[in-house]
Amino acid sequence: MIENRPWLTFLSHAIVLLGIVVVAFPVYITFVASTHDQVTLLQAPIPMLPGDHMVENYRQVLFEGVGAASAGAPPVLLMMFNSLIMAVVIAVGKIAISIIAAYAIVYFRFPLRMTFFWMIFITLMLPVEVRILPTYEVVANLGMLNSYAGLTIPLIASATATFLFRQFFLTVPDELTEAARIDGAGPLRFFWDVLLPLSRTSIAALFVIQFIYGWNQYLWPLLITTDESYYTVVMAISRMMNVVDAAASWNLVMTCTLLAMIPPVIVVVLMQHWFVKGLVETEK
Amino acid sequence: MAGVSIRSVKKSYGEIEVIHGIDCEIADGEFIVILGPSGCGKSTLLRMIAGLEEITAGEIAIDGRVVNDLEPKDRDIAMVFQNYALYPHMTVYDNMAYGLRIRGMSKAEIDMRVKKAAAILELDGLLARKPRQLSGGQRQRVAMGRALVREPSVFLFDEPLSNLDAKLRVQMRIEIRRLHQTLKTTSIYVTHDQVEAMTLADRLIVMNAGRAEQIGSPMEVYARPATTFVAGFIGSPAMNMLPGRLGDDGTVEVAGVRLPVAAPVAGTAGRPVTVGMRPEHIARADQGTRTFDLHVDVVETLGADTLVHGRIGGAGNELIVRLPGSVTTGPGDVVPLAVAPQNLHLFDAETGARL
Ligand SMILES: Nc1ncnc2c1ncn2[C@@H]1O[C@H](COP(=O)(O)OP(=O)(O)OP(=O)(O)O)[C@@H](O)[C@H]1O
Ligand SMILES: [Mg+2]
Repeated sequence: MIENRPWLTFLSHAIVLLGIVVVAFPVYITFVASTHDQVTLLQAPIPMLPGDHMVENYRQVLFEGVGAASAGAPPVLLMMFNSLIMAVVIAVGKIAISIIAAYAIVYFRFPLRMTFFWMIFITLMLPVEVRILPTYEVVANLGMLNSYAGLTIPLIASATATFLFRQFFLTVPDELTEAARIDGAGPLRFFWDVLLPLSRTSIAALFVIQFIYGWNQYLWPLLITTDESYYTVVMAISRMMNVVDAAASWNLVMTCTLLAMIPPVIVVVLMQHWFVKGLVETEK
Repeated sequence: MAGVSIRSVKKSYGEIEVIHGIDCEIADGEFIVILGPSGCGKSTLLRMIAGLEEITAGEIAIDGRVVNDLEPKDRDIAMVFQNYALYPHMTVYDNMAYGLRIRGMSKAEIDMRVKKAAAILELDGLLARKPRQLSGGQRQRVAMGRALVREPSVFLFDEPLSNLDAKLRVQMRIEIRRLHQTLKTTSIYVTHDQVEAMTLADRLIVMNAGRAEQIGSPMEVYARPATTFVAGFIGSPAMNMLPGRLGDDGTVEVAGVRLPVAAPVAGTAGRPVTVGMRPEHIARADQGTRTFDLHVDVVETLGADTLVHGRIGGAGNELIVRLPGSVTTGPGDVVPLAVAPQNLHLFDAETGARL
């Protein structure tokens, strides 16, 4: 579109800038808050400029926990490690399981194939929260409370990812499958040599989505972890705010929040590169 | 290298039968073209030979071995697809080498074969590229290269040139012909383009609605079409077909005109027949030798020839004539024409079979 209307240009830029401010401002405030001490934050005008307690706050949060007011939460470094394990295992697990399930549903003819597909599809309508009590019961009976297995396995099954891979496989031309058959590639080789490389883009996209999904899990870790060494960072943040007797250490809570934001941002930035590259390369 | 035998092969999808029994013996080294209109079952037949489609009834044998229950990879065939079906994420080299690697061939042997095929197909400089970095014609050549390196006993082609532009199609057609002359590998080639079919084929299988209407050399099919379908399908512009009746003295009557027939046809006088004349076999005549007159409607000048559309003997009996050079005639004129008796084709009016 080639237009030369200075007013329109100005207006559209103004709207974009406004949008950026609206999104970025709270993040900025979080950052500012994480660089002050507790007392400053409890006084009336919230500071708008960074203070001088940054190093101290981050060191304390990362290595010592939020202190007496932290309701027993461990150092954030450990919780971030737990979150990372949870997010990575869930993302990788979901992708691995659902790509195999989609492969079976699209490429093999077996009895009740469509029934299985619809069964998987229908679970799309049931979010974690709906089935959380029965799932808890199962996990508890299996003795998986307070373990990484308990944190991750129940969240791995994914109808969304299965469905997305199915849709992608359906767009792979039949002729490609046939060419591979004539070349002598069996089902596993075809999957490994052809389908998987072609799915790179979808895998990258799903990894981003599922990583963030796993990282942001709140209710599930809250339910099944009582041992604080399995706490995840997102659930810990809310615990820190609900201290009973003392004033919440907002500076530390904000520090923790900011730290919790970093891994998803890294994943998005790294994967975005891959994502675009994948898009360009597999395009016919 | 091997021959292919197709014996009473049928194909049904559920209740619907789409191939109604085809028989054909293909000799070692022969170039066979399967020609027919869209939806007649050409691809289905080819894919049954390839092993991509199950054979409902009948038998297909390659090199004397029945392959009905063999996987495609065990049939010693290679196929070139209409949309190339190259692996988009592999380089040209890997595309060609993939099948060989699966077969567990040594690296040196693979390298030698790929280089050789690349040289034949002039792909030398492109081996490191991905398919999306190639033009349509180059992709087509890679697809052929992938088939070539396998050194199969039968090549199968499913409309390999239909995605190319006209000029490239002519060029690739000649290349395929040349390739076959050097390799002499049995080839089965599906197309709906009659020029491709006529120029490439040692023998043609002309198919219509799941049946082989005629199997024969291009000249045979052109000179002695077995049915009105074949007669109308081969040749451009299509053969003129007019309703007529057998006369009693070795003649046939068309639109009130008596034409002599080369070989007398069995059957009583008055039997209804379809009379076919190719536009290029009708010649201009002078008053003495003329057999009928054409009332000209439209004249199309092609440069080398002129197509004259008109009627003989009143309405309905439309005729197209191809006359060499440019012809000075116009709508409303009457042009005297003649056709040699051996160039008349007679078909049964009901069944369409050649008499
Ligand atoms: N999977 C299928 N299920 C049912 N009918 C099919 C199937 N595949 C093909 N057919 C039918 O079989 C007939 C032959 O199909 P085929 O693909 O062999 O045609 P074709 O001669 O190759 O045509 P084209 O020149 O358009 O490629 C068609 O009438 C088609 O509708
Ligand atoms: Mg076809």
